[in-house]
Amino acid sequence: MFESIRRKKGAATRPAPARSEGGGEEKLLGRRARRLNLVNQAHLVRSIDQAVRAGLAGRLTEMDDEAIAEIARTTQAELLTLLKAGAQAVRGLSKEKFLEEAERDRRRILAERERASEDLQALLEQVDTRRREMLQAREELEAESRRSGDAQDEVLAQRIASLFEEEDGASDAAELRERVTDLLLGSVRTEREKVVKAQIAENRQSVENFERRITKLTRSLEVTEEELRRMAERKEVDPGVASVFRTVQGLNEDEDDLEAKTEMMATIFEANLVLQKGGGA
Amino acid sequence: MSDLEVLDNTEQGDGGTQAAVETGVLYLGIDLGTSRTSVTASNGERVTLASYVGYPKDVVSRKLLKKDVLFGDEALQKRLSLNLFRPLAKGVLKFSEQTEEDYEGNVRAAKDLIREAIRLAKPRADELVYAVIGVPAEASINNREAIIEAARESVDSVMLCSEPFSVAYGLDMLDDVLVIDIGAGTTDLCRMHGTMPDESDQLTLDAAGDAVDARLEQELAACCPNAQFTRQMVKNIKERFGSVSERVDEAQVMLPVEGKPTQFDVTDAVRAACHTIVEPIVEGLGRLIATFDPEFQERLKDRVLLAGGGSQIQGLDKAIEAQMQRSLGSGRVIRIEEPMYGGANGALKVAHDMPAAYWESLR
Ligand SMILES: Nc1ncnc2c1ncn2[C@@H]1O[C@H](COP(=O)(O)OP(=O)(O)OP(=O)(O)O)[C@@H](O)[C@H]1O
Ligand SMILES: [Mg+2]
Repeated sequence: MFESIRRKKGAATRPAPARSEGGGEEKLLGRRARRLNLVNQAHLVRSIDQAVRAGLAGRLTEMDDEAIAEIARTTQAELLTLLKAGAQAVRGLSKEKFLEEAERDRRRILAERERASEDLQALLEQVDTRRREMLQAREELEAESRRSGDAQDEVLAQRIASLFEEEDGASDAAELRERVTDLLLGSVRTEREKVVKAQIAENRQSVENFERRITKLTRSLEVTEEELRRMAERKEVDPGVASVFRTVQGLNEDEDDLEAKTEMMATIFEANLVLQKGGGA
Repeated sequence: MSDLEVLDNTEQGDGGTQAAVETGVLYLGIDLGTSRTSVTASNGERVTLASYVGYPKDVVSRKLLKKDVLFGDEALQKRLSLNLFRPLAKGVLKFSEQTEEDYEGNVRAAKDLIREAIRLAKPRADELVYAVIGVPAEASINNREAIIEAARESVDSVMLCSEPFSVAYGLDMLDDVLVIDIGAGTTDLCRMHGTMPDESDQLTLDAAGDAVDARLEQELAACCPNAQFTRQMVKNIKERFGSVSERVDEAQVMLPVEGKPTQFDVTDAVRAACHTIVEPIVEGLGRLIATFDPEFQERLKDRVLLAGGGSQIQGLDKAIEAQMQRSLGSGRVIRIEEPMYGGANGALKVAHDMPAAYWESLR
């Protein structure tokens, strides 16, 4: 097993970075850790465009230029999105970046809460006024209807009376008059009450609407509170600091004492294999 | 972002692992000492904490401390309300005369300590964590198994190596080297000659930090009549003024006498106490040298590494050299740059140099 590893290492053609002396961490971490290729986005976009055109033009002769251009455009967009998502996933966020974003989130949520509670305050005030207005209106309406009602009733009664007086005399006419009067007055009152009720209902409706809005705002305020609480928790969960290594490293080809070190790694590994797996393999 | 950074995957093909390309690999070098645990990581983090773990004694303590487990100096400070463990202390992790319960408690404490050390190194959740743990050279097999078991919970793959070995490996001194690692409870001497050291290459002495503290306590009692002090105060004095040099700034300390702070000159007391470890160490070196291939003995004497927290005594390297001169004819001592992190740095380098296939077959 070790043989195969050594042979593999021997066969690998790796760049041979300059080797510095001393036991510093710099040396340890710096070496092959950050090899990045930078690909220019404009270049990438052009290449995709060319590739799509070349790929399609050969196969689909009946396809017009417009359609090919459209396909190239969507492909570019898709690929860039994928690449960006992928790149972010690989790199992750640095701690500073993370904290910065967390802070920005927090400020946004705080602003939202501020706005929501201001709105809520305003609404509550409006509702209060509305309720007061409604009560007052109702009282006024009722008083008014009583007052004007009494007066109107009287006018109406007199009119009917005069109507019957013109006929003069007959005793059952008096009885009839009374009954007609009652009837008329009753129906007038019912009508008037209907109007009052409708007005009160309208007022109540508007108060109910206010109340519904208040409930909604309160809920959204609760949500921002909840978000804030979660943010505070999130801040305590350190996302960690990324390693400078993306892969397992192993010894460098140009390492001093490569053979001795390879041997030592094998010895340490074997001892651990015995310790951890009872010496199998 | 006008430029897209695309990772160059070409040189990762020979690493043998494809999964790692996406996730990233965090290497940890851990020095699991009896008194301090230190970690260095391939994300640049480095931490050290006292190897103490404490659990609240009762519900009231838990309520007061607001924690289920405390570590390091904090655990030490609040020890009165804690069940305090020092899980790496000599022999603690093996059965011996202890009750089952103590053993379980220590294994749990070791697990918690390792988990805390790793947490402090801030690994990302999406990274593989590969750790090399340097353990005292004389750690028994039971001890080692317990450490592996403890570490497994927090890492993807783990290997142990001897602590003095990792110190030397970290400095690229693999051949014919003597390592002196002065800790609190023990000083470990280790002879390295190209391969992994075995039993006969290692020697453990009591001449270490705690022994200096004990001696300094006696010296202070003699030179500061009626002064009151605790072992912790003594240790602080040593860490502040510790020196074996002849020419050194005076060590003046304030100690209470019948409650009244009084100034004492403790220069000579500190020097005398610190010097007590020189002779036993050189004697031990002598034994490891004498049993070595005669042809390479001179070379060995010329390559002595001085490491460990206890090595921070001023002038200790020169004092050991002088004593080697007297009793062994010659000697050259190299102080390592970061005595507290020497073991962890070396373990990190071992982790880095370990081939992927090895890491994977231990997962
Ligand atoms: N500045 C200093 N001068 C002298 N001694 C010091 C200094 N700082 C720390 N020490 C001593 O170093 C010792 C601890 O060393 P270290 O952290 O290497 O121990 P360890 O490796 O955990 O223990 P061990 O090797 O016994 O397992 C303690 O005795 C401490 O007092
Ligand atoms: Mg140590």
